[in-house]
Amino acid sequence: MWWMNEERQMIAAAAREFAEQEVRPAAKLMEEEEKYPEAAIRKLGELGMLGLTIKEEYGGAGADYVNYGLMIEELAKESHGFGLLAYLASELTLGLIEKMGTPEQVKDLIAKGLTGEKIYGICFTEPCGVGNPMEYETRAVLDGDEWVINGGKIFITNADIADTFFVIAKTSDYNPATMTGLTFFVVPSDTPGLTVGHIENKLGWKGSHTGQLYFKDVRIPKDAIIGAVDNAWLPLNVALLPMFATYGPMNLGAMETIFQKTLVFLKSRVQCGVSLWDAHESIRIDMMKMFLKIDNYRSAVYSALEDENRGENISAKAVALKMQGADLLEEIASQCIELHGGTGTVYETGIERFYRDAKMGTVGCGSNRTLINSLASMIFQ
Amino acid sequence: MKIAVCIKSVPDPDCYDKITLDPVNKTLNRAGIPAVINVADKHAIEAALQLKEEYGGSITVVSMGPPPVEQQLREALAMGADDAYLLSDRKVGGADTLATSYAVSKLIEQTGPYDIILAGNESADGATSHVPAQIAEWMGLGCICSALSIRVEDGKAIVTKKFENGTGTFRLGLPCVIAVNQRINKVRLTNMMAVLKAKKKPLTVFSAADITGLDESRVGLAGSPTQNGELHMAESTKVCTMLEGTEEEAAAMILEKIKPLLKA
Amino acid sequence: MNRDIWVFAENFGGRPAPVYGELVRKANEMREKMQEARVCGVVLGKDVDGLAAAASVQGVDTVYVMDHPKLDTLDACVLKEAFAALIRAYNPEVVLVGATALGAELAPGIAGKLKTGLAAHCVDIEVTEKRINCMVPAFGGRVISEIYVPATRPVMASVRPGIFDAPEPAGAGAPVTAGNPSTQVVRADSSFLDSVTSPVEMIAFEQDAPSADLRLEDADIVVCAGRGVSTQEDFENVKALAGKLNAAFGCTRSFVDLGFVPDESRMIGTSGKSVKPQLFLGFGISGAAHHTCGMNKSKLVITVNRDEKARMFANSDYGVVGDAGKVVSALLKQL
Repeated sequence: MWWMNEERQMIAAAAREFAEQEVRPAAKLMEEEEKYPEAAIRKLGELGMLGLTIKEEYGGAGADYVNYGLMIEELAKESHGFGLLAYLASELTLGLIEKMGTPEQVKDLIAKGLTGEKIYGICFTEPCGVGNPMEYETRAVLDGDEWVINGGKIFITNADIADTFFVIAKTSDYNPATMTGLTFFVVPSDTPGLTVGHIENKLGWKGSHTGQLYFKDVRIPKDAIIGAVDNAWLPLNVALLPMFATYGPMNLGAMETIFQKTLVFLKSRVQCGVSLWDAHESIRIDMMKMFLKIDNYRSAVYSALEDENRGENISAKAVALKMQGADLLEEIASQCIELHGGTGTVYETGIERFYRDAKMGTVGCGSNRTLINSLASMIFQ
Repeated sequence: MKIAVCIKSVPDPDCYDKITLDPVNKTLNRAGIPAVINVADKHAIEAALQLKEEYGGSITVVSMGPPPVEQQLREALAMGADDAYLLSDRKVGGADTLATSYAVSKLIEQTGPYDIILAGNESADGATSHVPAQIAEWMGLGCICSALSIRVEDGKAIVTKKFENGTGTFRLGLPCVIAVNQRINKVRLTNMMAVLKAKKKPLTVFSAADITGLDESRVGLAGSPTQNGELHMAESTKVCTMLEGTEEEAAAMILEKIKPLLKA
Repeated sequence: MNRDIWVFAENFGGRPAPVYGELVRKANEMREKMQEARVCGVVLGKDVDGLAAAASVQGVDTVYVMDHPKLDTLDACVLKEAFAALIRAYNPEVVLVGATALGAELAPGIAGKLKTGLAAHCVDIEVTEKRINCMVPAFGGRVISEIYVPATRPVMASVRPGIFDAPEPAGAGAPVTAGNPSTQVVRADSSFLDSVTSPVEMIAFEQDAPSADLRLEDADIVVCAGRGVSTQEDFENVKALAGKLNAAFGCTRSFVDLGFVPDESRMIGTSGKSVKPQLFLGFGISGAAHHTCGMNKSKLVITVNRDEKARMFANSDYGVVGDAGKVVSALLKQL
């Protein structure tokens, strides 16, 4: 693996240690009690693990997406859902803030996010569809020194957990030609008028709280914005697309765990003196096919991340990793559950939750179909 | 407070079951087993981190070995040490514990002075527990091995150690050597920022010629009063008879076998 | 230079530590191949006439004593001065030290001071025509290395308690009964210690509360739990079984990691205790070398493990492939 060196081995080792000690018990909490793993997420902050894509001048480690990927991969080996929450606590929020705002606007926000002191959430999606800004109903109106926000958001991760939300809302009518009309706001969760609604009972990503937020005359200071007024939509989407590459290491970690568990099972499950692995060529073939697909996916993941390190715009690769990875993860989880027989369906075996989480990856952060369409518009004007 | 931690790079203990003996030339086959920081030494690094947090100062890690040992020193820097020194030279290789402790003590003297010199109590591979006590002897310093707690009071180290029937508390003048028992602390999780800063921290490699006053007759094979003879794998002479049946049946069979040995 | 074999008689509450008897027995075996070798005890401490008398066991020709107030301590730094002075004065060929908490620290200090060779934690010592070979385990006990000391003297070796056999009731290492030849006690001049200041001072010693549990070292039967004893209930049952069999309870490092016991005091292995009971019952033990090294001289070993490939079976006389917890429950019911 050409991207590995001794420093990256240490990065992966540190993340693995954290995953075994902190993520493993957190995963139980998430699956069995549907609790948000707050202690473990804040610990990521304490151990400097949230800044691998953030510039040093903001207190990060300097952006190296391969380093970041290696860390997410290790975390996701224990829990795909935790990988998602770690991604949200790091690049998805902090990276977005860093790319959207001026240094003054973002310094304090990033600093508090990096240490785990503040937990953030992002509010885009509305009932009309996340990729449909024309029909967004959440509006912000300037009243003297304050913005007043009214409206509602749905499918917001960390709805009842975040200390601060970053909310996209209409400040003018949406102009599809220029893609202007929306602004990105900073809204502390305890601002009067902001209430949390129903938290969804989802198929997967248990322990990640996804729910509705209602804004009724929510007042925030005039300067509580990131980026320029009216001009948030395009920059946000441009910034977001490459970030979906993080689904790459997330899916990869999950696939590796499933494969390893299944391999151990097949070699130790003995019937009439022969292991399943030794007894059935078809099983060895199925496993090898999966192994090769995982190996291929790994190369795609880290090649894309290194391209990003070299300044390339990896929007297309990122969406590919998200889309293809979700399908591949689902396929592998599905096959490996079957290879286990009945025990594959049992929670304690530790595979079925990856099967459910795989499906979340097809719609989390925007459905893959929507993303493909955005990408098509971007690339093939 | 200047703290030195002696670390050893050892083959990963999780792989010891894979070690084999070449039947022809009776040497160990350790190929493919990765090297790690000896786990007891990680507890020593953690103890140093706690002392630094409490009393301020700096942590230097030292080691002796071939060039690849640099990687373990980098890992120690990633754990939070401030700088590192490696003594790497064929002349000091092949040393037993007396010659090793001599060379390490000279490295410590060269890079010091230190207030406290820490080490893990035993290594995973050799497990002699000799080196810390012998470093102390070479340097004329006080020493306590298998320490369970360390604090500093009025310029002295207060150290506890467990004995067969109780716990002793000792006061040591500084500088001193303390070998820590693994139960002294829980090694903290590695900070990622520290991992990335590790490559910028100073790591100096010395050859034997760089160590002032190194008496070459005391290092390497020449300085080793003990020598290795033959090696063999620890094998069991027992032949196992399996008792078949359900757990209840097996229990009955076990009881039958042990009844003669039970006191009435 | 003589061929004497010295054994350190560490002070355990006024009597020599049990390992002393084991090493005296071993020294007497060794001397059969070493012409004119005497076996001598070494006593260090303050007001140690009683200890010297107790160290004058069968098979010991001489007990060397260094008596001084400064030696009433567990500080190895001052004790090594006294021991080294005795060695310099009387020149033994071999010095054996029990690798107790004190001994494991004292031995390397003495060897360092005298610039001589020390073999650590030997599991056997063999005297051949050419030399004295010490068998030293390495790599967690997987490999046994022969260590010898070609040139320097004395040859030093440390040995963990319980590795060598305890003395026979009327054999070497056993207390002297009436009518046996008496040991010569030699009191060395300790006045030089007046001007010795140790950099270490023992300022307190807190005795452990006496435990009702049978000591592993003394037990004829040991019941040992490994990682396969994974629930509180199974653990309680294993302890109950030990009680019913009048056995000592021991465990492996993996079991300690499960968190049911507070410390390593019952751990059997290379960094724990060595046991040699008549009967060793292992439950859920995989048989890693670092554990078997501490029990592989047990007379009768019976192992229960759910994994038929467990290495422990190779170290056992009888094996059961099955659930350890269930077998323990069954044993309790049937006893």
